[in-house]
Amino acid sequence: MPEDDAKARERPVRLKVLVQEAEQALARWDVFRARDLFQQALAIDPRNESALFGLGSLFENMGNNPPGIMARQDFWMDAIKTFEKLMEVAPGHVEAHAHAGYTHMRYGESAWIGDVAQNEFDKALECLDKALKLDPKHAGAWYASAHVHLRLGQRTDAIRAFKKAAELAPMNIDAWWNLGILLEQEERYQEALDAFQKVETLDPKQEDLDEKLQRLRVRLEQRQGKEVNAQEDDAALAQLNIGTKLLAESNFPKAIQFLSKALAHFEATHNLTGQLEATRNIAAAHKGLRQWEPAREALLKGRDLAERKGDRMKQAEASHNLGYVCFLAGHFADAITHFTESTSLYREIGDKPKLADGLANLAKSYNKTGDHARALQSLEEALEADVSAGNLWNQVNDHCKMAEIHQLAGDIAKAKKHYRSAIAICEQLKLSSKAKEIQKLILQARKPEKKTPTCPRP
Amino acid sequence: MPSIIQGECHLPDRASPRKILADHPKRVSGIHSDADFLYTWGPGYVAEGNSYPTGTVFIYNKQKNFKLDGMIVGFSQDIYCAISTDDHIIVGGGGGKDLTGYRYSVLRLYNKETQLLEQDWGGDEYRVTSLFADEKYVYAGTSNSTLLVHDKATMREIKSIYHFVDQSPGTHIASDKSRLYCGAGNGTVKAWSKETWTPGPSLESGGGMITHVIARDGRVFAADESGNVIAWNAGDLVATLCIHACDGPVRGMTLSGQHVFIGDASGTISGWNTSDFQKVLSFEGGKVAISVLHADDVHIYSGCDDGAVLVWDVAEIIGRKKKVRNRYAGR
Repeated sequence: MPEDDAKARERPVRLKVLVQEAEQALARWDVFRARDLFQQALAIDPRNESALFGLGSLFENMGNNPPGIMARQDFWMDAIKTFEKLMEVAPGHVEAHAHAGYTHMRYGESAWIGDVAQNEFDKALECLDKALKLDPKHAGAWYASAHVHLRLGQRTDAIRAFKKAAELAPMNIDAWWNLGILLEQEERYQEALDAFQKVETLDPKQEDLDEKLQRLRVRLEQRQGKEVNAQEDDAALAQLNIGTKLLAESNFPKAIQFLSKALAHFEATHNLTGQLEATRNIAAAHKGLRQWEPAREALLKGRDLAERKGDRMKQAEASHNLGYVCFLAGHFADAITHFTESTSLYREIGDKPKLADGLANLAKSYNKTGDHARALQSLEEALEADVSAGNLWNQVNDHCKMAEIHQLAGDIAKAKKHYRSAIAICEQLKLSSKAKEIQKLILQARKPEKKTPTCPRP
Repeated sequence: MPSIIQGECHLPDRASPRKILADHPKRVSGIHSDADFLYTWGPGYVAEGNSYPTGTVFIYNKQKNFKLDGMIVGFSQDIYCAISTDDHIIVGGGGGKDLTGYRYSVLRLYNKETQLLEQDWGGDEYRVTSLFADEKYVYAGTSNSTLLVHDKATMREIKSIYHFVDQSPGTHIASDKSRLYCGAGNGTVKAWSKETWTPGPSLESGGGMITHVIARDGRVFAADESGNVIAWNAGDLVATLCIHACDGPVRGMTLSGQHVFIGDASGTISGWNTSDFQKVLSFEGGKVAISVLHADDVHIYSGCDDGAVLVWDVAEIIGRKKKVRNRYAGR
């Protein structure tokens, strides 16, 4: 008898060790070892919640990423059985309900259509509803529930669930994205725009995001327009969309064709947003073709449109690009005017990285006109903006450019000081080759040779 | 093989091109045309600093006096071939490296109306060097001697034929109703049955690497790197005529009406009558070496090593024959 007592006392310890080992095996994706350990734990105590949940999650993961050629559906079936057992043992286990629902959903998705899919989606909703009754703030359950509703064609419920999921887990980009898509399809453009703007704040580089934002902004203004011809509006939007895509594929001539057609429509319907979007893309296409004059014309138009619309950001962007185009066309005085305008707008908006870019370009333009003092002043301000924006690479460039100007002016000590600051930042960035390059510039830094004056002609 | 007919040796005449297209930054690699558009392609660089060997297809509207209509950019890959069907533009190439250093091939399908990319089959480490289409299929020859056959309607790949040719520096493909003809690096043209996809007889040129193959009107024409052009009857595959068209490799070969036009490294284009292979004219087709020749019913297009594409009126050239005056204004 004392032996049995000892064994009974050891069981919980052994159980804990087995579950821990299984979790470790799972962490290193040794799935079959993890499965065996969980099953050993369940042989000791078939009602152990940790082991049941661990095993269920393991099967669910194996179904999602099946090893070799094993069928994922078998793993999902095992996962569902295990979660069901856990729900029997602990009816208030929220995660068991949520994961069971999610697994039913995946199984249904794999069946795609038909009775099996319908049955699995129904079961998934049942489990997810229970999970949400137990914990109405379970973001994962709301998200899975939204997907199931979508599969079942219940769009209103799907929108509600995606909204809940996004509110409870605001970092879930997919929830915001899907919400945006559904809302746009329901023609709730303002809400859709809000959702995509959330995506923009989380990840501005999401594929197709710019296109969606552009389309929604135009749509919103189209709705406000008095003479709305839905078919023509759709055609213009499609042309704008194709033009933007062609621009991304560097097919500039074709992009101009499509964008010009869209622009003509937006001009006829007085849609300022549409005109602005089409014009700035037309300017970009001309810039790509290095057609400076048409690019300048489009940018001037774009700047005026942005001003009329009160869009300071787009106005600053147009001025900046105007400066860039004038610089490349060799009109440095005009470039200075436009960069000065863009930098004052960026200062007003408080966009430090763009302000720094504008100031660096302004300095370049001053340099071209021989006004080194103003170039230096701009670079100092650019450096300040880059420091506050935390852009180290731009700081290196600013220091190097300032050193060049000081060197030209014969102030070698200041030039070397800037070069050394640049080297220090390069070391911070672990850019040893760039640091060596600048080191060479320090060694070569010397006063410019004075030309011996030639004798004046008698 | 019949004896080689030497062309008349005289200085080329000068003629005026109808138009000079000067968008290519470097050599023109190929030209294709359909009813409405002219497609020219070659290596180049994207304007804003991409240093990868990006190729570009320039598309010109023939109905609008060859106005530039669009451009398809290879994005870090060179472009070796392009064709158009009723609905699509198909582009082949490769050879560049992506950021991981992996070389891959390009076979892309673009919508003809919008010129937007629809599908991309690129992947393995070879280059798509030639494209050809007939009524049913689109054929893509690759640098590893493979022929990829796609269904023209659906563009689904239906067959890959390995070792399509023995040596393939740039597989040249032509097709008639029953056969595919493929020029190889060892101076042979291999004829394949299109019904059974099995190789038939090899046609010997004997003049080194085959540079061009054209099949038309019951005949197969092949040009080689020694400057010879040979014609076989497509039925019995018997060689009927052979000319020595130029010294050095044939840089461009095209057929227009009853004439075959040959471009060479000196920039000269010579025209030969296909019935008796008599030289009927020659003229200066470019300021530098011709890199490619193409013709449709109305025009001959000569691409040059300096990136110029010259558009010539066939009627004017043929009608002018040897009475051409010195009016070539250059680029």
